[in-house]
This record gives sequence, structure tokens and C-alpha cells, in this order.
Amino acid sequence: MKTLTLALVFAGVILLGGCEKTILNPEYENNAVDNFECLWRNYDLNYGQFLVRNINWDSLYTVYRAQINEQSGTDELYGVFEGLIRNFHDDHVFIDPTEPGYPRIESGRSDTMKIQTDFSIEQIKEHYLISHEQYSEHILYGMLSGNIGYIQMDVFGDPLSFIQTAFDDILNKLKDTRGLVFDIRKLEGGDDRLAKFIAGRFSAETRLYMTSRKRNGPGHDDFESPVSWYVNPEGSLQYTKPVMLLTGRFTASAGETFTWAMNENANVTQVGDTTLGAFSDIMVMELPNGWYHTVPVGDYRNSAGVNLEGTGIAPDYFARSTKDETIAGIDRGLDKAIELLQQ
Amino acid sequence: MNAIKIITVWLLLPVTIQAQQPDSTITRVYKNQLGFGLGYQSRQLIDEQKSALVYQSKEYQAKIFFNKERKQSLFLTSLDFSLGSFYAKHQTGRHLYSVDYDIDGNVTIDSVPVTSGILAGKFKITYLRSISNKSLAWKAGGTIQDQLIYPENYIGLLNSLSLNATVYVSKKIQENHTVSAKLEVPVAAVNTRLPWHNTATDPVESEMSTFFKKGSRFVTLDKFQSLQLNLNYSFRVSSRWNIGGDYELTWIRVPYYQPMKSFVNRISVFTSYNF
Repeated sequence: MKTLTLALVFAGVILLGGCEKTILNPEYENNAVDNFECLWRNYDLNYGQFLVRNINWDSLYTVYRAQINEQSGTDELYGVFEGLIRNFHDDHVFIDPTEPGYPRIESGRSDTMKIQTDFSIEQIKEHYLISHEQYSEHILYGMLSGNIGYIQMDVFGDPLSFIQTAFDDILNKLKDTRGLVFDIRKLEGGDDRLAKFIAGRFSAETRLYMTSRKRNGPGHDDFESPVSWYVNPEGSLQYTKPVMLLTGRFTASAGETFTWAMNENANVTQVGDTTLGAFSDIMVMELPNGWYHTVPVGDYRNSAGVNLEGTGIAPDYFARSTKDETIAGIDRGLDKAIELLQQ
Repeated sequence: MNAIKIITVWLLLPVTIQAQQPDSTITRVYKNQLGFGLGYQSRQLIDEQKSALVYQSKEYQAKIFFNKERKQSLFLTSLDFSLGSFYAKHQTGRHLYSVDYDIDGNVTIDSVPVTSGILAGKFKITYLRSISNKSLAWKAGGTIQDQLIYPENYIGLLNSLSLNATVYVSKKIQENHTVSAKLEVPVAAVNTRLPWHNTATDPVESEMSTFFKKGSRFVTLDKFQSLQLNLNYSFRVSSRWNIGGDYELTWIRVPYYQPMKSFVNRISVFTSYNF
């Protein structure tokens, strides 16, 4: 009975005692200094592009840490975070405050490039497509004049099994076209594995298109072994006739790894504008004040071993509409793609 | 309220059945026990690999178990699942704000509350040998356990397949009342956590498969500390039926890559059938 009594006392202590402090022992308090320290450390331990972007993170610590103290309020902390993370110039780096009145803090071009003016799916439906079907929330396909097929996607977010069926259906319907436009100007990202699979539906041979490596230690050059990504023929039917891949400044993340994969296919030509330049997987982390922030953890390179973070993938043919042209139903990118397919 | 009614009816069922049994059957001894329990548990957790926040859960738990008693040994198996809400303890009421712009620059601000859920479970097989049979019956042995913590937001995500050293002590108080305590400490485990970079992507494998392939490692006491303490009270209503309750404390500490610490307090009631 003595043992049982001791066990009960122990359980009581655990139940009633200060469990959180004694057992969980959180490293950070919710004050401005700890929030700063936590944010700085999260990037220090996990960000994958310090070397590629030539960022001196220790020196930025010195500059920005001096601007806050434990009495600093939310406005001051917000301002310091804004200054600190803008040094990344990385569209995959942002902070999402979770209280009203504090908008997302962006690090890359997204901060000044919020409105997409070169693309409108409604105008394409009205002025270009002679028939179309919204296959799912994220996939639209149809026919352009001149027996040209059209596929548009805005995210690679569906399950792989759904995408397999969807592309069986769509490519069967478009297989007799003379060529095809694949429009990803509004594609914000998603799953790289889906991107690889879809690119494989337009592939005739296996080709390396990307290597990725991710942080695995505290040093800025601590990385796992690189992983090679190959595009190869996928599914029962591959569309190997000419394909115009329409990209733009809003083509991001998995949309860009998809662009790399598609560009390895001999039948694909990239038309439009340069992509955003944010390739890496990100981890979402939380600060002591509950704010979210994202940390790109990888170093992604194309088949030539070049890292295009912050640069983006330039098209083979540049074509972009102005805002007025888009509103008027003129799509320079799509016009160029159709012109190339008709040659 | 419905849940309370169901639990009450279910707990009273053995008592009702007992009332219908002839007195002679209560003295019979059965060595196998099949049971079912329902409980509530609260988890507190911090996973510094993903968050600086202390998380808390409110989980409802269900458990089935089978015990087989021999003269010198005890064999226990159990499977339990719990499901519930999972939220940052000191940051409740958080919202995420999204801003959308149309082509003319008109702004739409939308907000969604930050919510998350958690699924957790344990499967255990325990074998114990009797080491002392005085007023307290002591047994010792080992447990093979698979434990999953699967939060929707992946904070604290862990699968642990462990070999636990187990000590069990029980005492019969009067004819039909038994109290027992069980303490388990893992000595070795294969733990699966997200890798350092907290992502699980691969050109070919699914996320789940990549999680297990890249995130699993063999660990011993220096990389995985845990303790499970179970206190149990059982009342034999009849020779066939028991009812009871138990309290369980689970504490976990995984020091890599950034520390994850958790403790769970659980209370549950059960009924079991002897055969």
C-alpha cells in the first residue's frame, strides 16, 4: 500500500503542480525580446539559402536586436520584424500576425506586386475559349480556335489519385488537337510531386530537371544529400505534341518546379513572363506571441545546377498584357502562344 | 448530455446483469478478461521544432483491452484511441487574416479562426511475470507499444514503437475490490518525427511514407525519455462482470532535433467481462 500511496501522491503533484513550467519548460516568454530571439533563431537553424543569397545573419542580429527591449510594444516589434525579414528578398519568407490591424509582413516582391494585371480567366473564357469545362475547383480545360487545347490550373493541391484520373480524362479529350496551351500564370504552388507527375503527362523520355537539398543541422551549410527529381512519361497517354507553357510573375513555388520539369520536355516552349523565383519547401513556425512565420528550408537547383531563388525562370518568348489590355480582353501571352502553335 | 446518459447506462449494465445472476456463479474464477473503457484526457505539449507555444488538448478516449491471467504471469493487450481539439494554451482566439486584391486594387480582408484537432492512439502488448505474492502482488516484465500522436498542424507529431520495462503491483481489498498500479519506462524505441527541416517531400514516395523513411531513428534513453503511470481500481460486480476506473499519466521528452515535451492526464471508466 505504501507504494500505491506514493504513486498517488506523485500523480497528485503532477496534476496539481505547475506542470507547464516544471515539465514543459518553454524556452521563450511572450515579450518583444524573446519573440525576436525566437524568430532569429528559427531562421538561423533552418533557412536554406543564407549562402546562395549571401546573407550575413549574425550581422543582421546585431542591427535589429538593438532596436527592441523587453518593454517594446507590438508596433515596435512589427517594425523590427519588417526590417529584418526584408533582407531575405524571398517570396517564401513572410510573417502572419494573428491579431487585427497587422497585415502580413512580406519579404519578397509579393509586397509590391499584389495585384495580378496580366491575366484574367474570365476574359479568356469570354474572348478566347470556344468551349470549356471547369473540371474541378483548380482545373479548367477547353478548346481555343484552330484546334488548340487549353488547360489552366491555379494550384497543385488535389490528391495524386484525383490528378491521375483528371489528366486521363482531359488528355483523352484533347489528344486530337494540333497543340496545347498550359496556362499556369496564376498557379501559386502546391505539391512538387504532383508537379512532377503532371509534367510527366507531356514527357517522352526520362530527364533530370531538379535537385533539392534541405537543412539538417545548425550550420548554414548543413544539408542532407541532394535528391534528384526526374521527369518521365507518366500515365497511359502522354501528350507529346507542341505545348506552350504560359508563365508569369505570379507563377510560384511548385508552379516553378513544374516549369523546370516541363522545360526538360522537348515539345514544351515557355511563353509569358518570368516566374516569381520562390522554389523551396517551407516550414511554418510559431512565435511566442502566436504569430506564424515561414522558413524556406531548401536549396533547389535546376538540371544545370543553378539556383534561381529570387530570380525566377525566364520564358523563351516574353509576352505580357498591361492592365488595360487585360480589362479589354487582350491577352498578349495567350496570343503569342497561339501564334507559335499555328506556325 | 447524451454522452453522459450513454456512459451511465453502459456502466449500470453489469449491475443490472448481476442482479439477474444466481448467487452461486459469483464465486467462480475466470482467467480471461475483455473490456471496454471510455475516458477524457488533457495533453499539454511543446514542440520547439515547430512552435514556441505550449499546446493543450481536450480529447475523448475509447479503449478496448484483453487480459489473460495465468498462475505466475499476466498478459495484457490494449488498443486506445483519442480524438479532440488541440490549441495553443495561451493564444486562444487567434485568427489568420488574408488580404485579396482584385484587378482594380480593391481590397477584401478575410479572417479565419486558428483551430486544430488531434488524433492519438496506443497499442500495447504486455507480458508480466510474478515476482512476489505477498499482500501486494508484484509483477515485472515488458511491453511492446506503438504510440501515435497525430496533431492536424503536425506540432508534436510522433510515432513511437518502443520496448518498455514494466512493473505492476496489485492488491485485493476485500473480496471484490482490486487496486493496481503499473509503471512503464521505454528502454529502446524506433521513433518517427519530422526531420530537422520539418517537411516530408520526395519525388516518388507519399508524404506518409517519406515521414517514416526519413524521420525514423532507433533511440535509447538518452534520446527518448518517457514514463507511463497507470492507477486502476476495479470492482467485481459479479463473477462475469467488473466495473472500474483508472487514471493514467504519460510523460514524454524527445530532445531531438529541437525538444518535444508532453504530458497527458487521463481519467477513464471501464467495464469488463470475465470468461
